[in-house]
Amino acid sequence: MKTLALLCLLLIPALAAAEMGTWTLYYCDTETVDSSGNLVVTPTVSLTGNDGGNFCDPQSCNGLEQAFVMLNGNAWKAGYTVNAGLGNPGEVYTFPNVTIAPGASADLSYAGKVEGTIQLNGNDYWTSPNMIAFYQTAFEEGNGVYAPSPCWINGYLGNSPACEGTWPAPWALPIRGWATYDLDSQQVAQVLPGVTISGPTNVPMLAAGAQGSDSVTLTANPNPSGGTFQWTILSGASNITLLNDTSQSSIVQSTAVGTFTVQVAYTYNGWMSTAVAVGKVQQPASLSVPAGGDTGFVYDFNCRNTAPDYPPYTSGTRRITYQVLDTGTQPIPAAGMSASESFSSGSNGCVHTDYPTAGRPVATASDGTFGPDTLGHLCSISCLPADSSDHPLGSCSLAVQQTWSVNGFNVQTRNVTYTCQAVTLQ
Amino acid sequence: MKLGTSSALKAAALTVCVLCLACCAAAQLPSKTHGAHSGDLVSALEFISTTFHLPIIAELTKSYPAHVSLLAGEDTAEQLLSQLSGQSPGYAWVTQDGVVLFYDIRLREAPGNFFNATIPRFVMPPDVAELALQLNQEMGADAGKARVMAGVPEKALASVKLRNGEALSNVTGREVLVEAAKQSNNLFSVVLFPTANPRTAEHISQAHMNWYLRSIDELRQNPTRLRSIPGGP
Repeated sequence: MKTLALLCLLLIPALAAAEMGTWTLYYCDTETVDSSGNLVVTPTVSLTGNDGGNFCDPQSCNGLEQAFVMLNGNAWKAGYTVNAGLGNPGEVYTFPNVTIAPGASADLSYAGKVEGTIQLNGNDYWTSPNMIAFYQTAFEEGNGVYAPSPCWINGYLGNSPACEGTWPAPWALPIRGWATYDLDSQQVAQVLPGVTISGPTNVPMLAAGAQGSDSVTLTANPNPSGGTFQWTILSGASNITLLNDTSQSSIVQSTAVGTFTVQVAYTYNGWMSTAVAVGKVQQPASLSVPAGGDTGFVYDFNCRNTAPDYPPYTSGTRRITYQVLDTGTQPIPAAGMSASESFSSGSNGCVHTDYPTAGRPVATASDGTFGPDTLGHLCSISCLPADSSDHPLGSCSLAVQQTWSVNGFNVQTRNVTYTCQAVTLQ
Repeated sequence: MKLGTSSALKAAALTVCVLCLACCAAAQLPSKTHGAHSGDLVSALEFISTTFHLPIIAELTKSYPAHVSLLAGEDTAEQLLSQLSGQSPGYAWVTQDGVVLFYDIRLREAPGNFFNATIPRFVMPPDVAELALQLNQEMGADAGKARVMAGVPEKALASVKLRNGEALSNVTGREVLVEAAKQSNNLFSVVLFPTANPRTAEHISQAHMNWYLRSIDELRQNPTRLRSIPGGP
């Protein structure tokens, strides 16, 4: 999970007294994103401050000072009990996580409540900024409990000091009350919809009139689904054409060699997110043989089944896999490029043999390779006799010129020579 | 040797089928509920092949129908093939060993059609990818000559297995395909000749470049796209 933010807000600049003791209740949250893209909000509250000597100490009032926060319209959550005086650091209450899906929102409005025993001494002055209501619920004197006195604490004054007054000396009466605060109550957390782009970004060029792939498909992966898409070209507009630019999948078609950047804007429920993909257009220009891509000449073909002479020996095959490179000799990792071979006849000194026939074009794999080109199967009586391993001892050669083109661009011409013991390319 | 006794029986069965197409096919192919289809002849053949998982070997010429349609309903493959041939003048079909042969009538008998060329001996390779390579070299080779090998096997066909090492003697390329389709039960072949009477090396070369061997399993996701053949017929 990635931690996005730690947001702390002053929730309750709370109760103050004549000696200017102050509670300050903080609301914080930690925001993380889980593996599904959900925003996970972990709210906490903490209380700092001092009682200015006016609140009862924990021993005498059993830690009755408590702070509460109401979150997300839920009931009052378990609160915070002040121990050993107010403001002990590290005393943090953590609310249950609030999980918000991408594109969704949640009400994180909160309100605070403090409750405690305020022990006012003679001529103490107290005030409570931002207090909406502070109701006296009871006060105690000695062992008796008295009904609330409207004279004392009955403020309902919004953001101005709610109540103020003095307590006549010499008594010190504890007053129990509660207050609610409305501090920035419209806290709506909106999680933006998620979107990423997947798909290949290497786009091959296609020669005029040739067949083969000249495009790739980029797909937007939204979270949640159900929104709309708009694809645009941020750079390299002369190198590509964008098709299906309002669909989830857009086609990037090559027009010129170079780089490009495309963006998809995903709008869900009025909220928009974007993602970009950078790619390049490449023109096939040459071939390379990747490591391990050439098997060498392997004796694996039984000529005893090959007409017209059914020569009794095992012929060989060389298999070569090719990688398509661009004009800068960089690989073109693109699927669907059309690799086509053609032959020009050369010399042939092998009895009863003929030049190969070109097959239809093959498509490159996603890494831009194709093959293996399978060369061999020279079955001629010119190669006889065979040795004890059934390999031919005779000699002859058949030569052709082989030309490979990819997407209509000539990428390689080689003289291929078939002999009884090898296939060579020059 | 030419496929032995069973081959003779097949030939007899084929003859019967030609004479009584509906009887032969309908007896083998159950009906299925299917959707409508419209497109060119190749796509329609692929539709039938995938709907019934039916091996089809098609031999077409350049002017094959570009627009045919099949009505939705419950049909046998035979009924759909009949719908198709009814919309494709000059084309006919037969079944042979559970494999459908759909063809241009003139092309089927043309001497220049390399599927008619006799291969003295053909040994089944392990898979259809190798079969395509070998057959491409052997079909239409000059008489009395053995072509050397050059070509790239299609990876998608390597998983379609054959009875490796089984030898066929004096068979045509078409018969090899039928045998391979029968063994794999997963073969779709289509070739496009530039003309119903191929005579020149260019005609043959274009047909070689337009011969597609496919597994039925891959047709839905990746339909065959024939290469265009330039020029007139």
